[in-house]
Amino acid sequence: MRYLLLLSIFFIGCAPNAYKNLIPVNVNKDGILRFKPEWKRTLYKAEIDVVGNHLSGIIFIKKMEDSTTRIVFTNQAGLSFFDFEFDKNSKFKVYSIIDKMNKKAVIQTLQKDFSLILFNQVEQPLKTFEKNNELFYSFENNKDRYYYITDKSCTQLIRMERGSKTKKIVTAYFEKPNTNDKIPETISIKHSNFNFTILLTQIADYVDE
Amino acid sequence: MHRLFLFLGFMVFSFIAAAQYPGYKAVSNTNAFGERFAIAASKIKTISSDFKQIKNLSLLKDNITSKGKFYYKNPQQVRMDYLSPYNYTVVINGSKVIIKDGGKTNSMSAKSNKMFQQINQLMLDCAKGSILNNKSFTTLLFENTETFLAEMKPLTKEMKNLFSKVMVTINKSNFLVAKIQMDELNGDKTTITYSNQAINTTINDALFTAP
Repeated sequence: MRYLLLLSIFFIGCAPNAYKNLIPVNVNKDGILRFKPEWKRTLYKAEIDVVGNHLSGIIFIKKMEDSTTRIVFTNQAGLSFFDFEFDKNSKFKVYSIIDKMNKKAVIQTLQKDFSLILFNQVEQPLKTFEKNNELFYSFENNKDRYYYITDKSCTQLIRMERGSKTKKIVTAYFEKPNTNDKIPETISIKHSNFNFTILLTQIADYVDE
Repeated sequence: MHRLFLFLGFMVFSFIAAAQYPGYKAVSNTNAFGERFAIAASKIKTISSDFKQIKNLSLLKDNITSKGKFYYKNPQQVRMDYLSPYNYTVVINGSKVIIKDGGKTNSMSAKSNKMFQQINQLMLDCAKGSILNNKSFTTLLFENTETFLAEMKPLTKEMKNLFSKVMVTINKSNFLVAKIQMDELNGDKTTITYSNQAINTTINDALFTAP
């Protein structure tokens, strides 16, 4: 038992620095913008797993006329879990959220997760780095660092990350991005520090006949 | 003088009640409705139908539409198969709730959770129309030539957290529920409309046990 404890302390103490050995490079910083999704009105089947609880339903992403982005999560029967807004300056607003989720930590986590996949704030001056044949486009927001990671020639978005200076907190992926209309077909968001994943799969949208 | 005020008061009240749902007037004798309803309901053993669900997002001025199949077996079995925008099944079998979502099937008992119990009861009452007996809501009844409209206002904490009101439209010709509208606190509305209703056809019991 004591051995196990020692071993775990050893491993925690030696948790690898995820962002060690990033080498600053000078590349065209606008290159990353081509991967920014341009949602107009898209429905995703949503599966959210958070410490043993499974929530499923529909996430609706809509770009409004005033350039704000709304993210609404409802269950299949139509009841709303939450309704969030990011305005064009990435200012965040909660329109509604069910009691069970109405906790500061939950809201902040969701806000940051959605910020990452919406490419909020990537228009600002970015720092660029290189490591293991990957390019990192990065900016800081308070204590958080956001990373958009591409291949060396910036032709493919490999993944997105949020972390601290040394630790990775969240990794997100767009899969099978439909390059023509820039809307990802699947989006996955996975937290490294606790059991929390969001999986979004695009579904056909039936506008009222 | 007193009487005049009473009369005026009554006039204003009737006007408000009528204005609430254009074309509808309040049903004065709800007991008679209850009795007629109970007789009609006792003859219904099964219902199967199509349904269309429209979730109206009021602030976004937009809708999400789902479609599927609905099954009811007297007295307390309901199944809703959502077929679009993706496959999803909810089964209520007494106090048992089974949800099939993609490849995952989840079975739970509603007994331990007040909110689940009340949602279950609401779904069963809306399926068979026995809404006047539902203790979690207070119900006002209106009618026009073809339909009854029941306005259900939540009484319990659990239902008050979910709905501002639920409105159920019942066909006078067959006493079947034609439409359910659930109004949420944030102004969103979910409307379920039933069509192609078939009564007393054979429905396999397995539909309510293994989705």
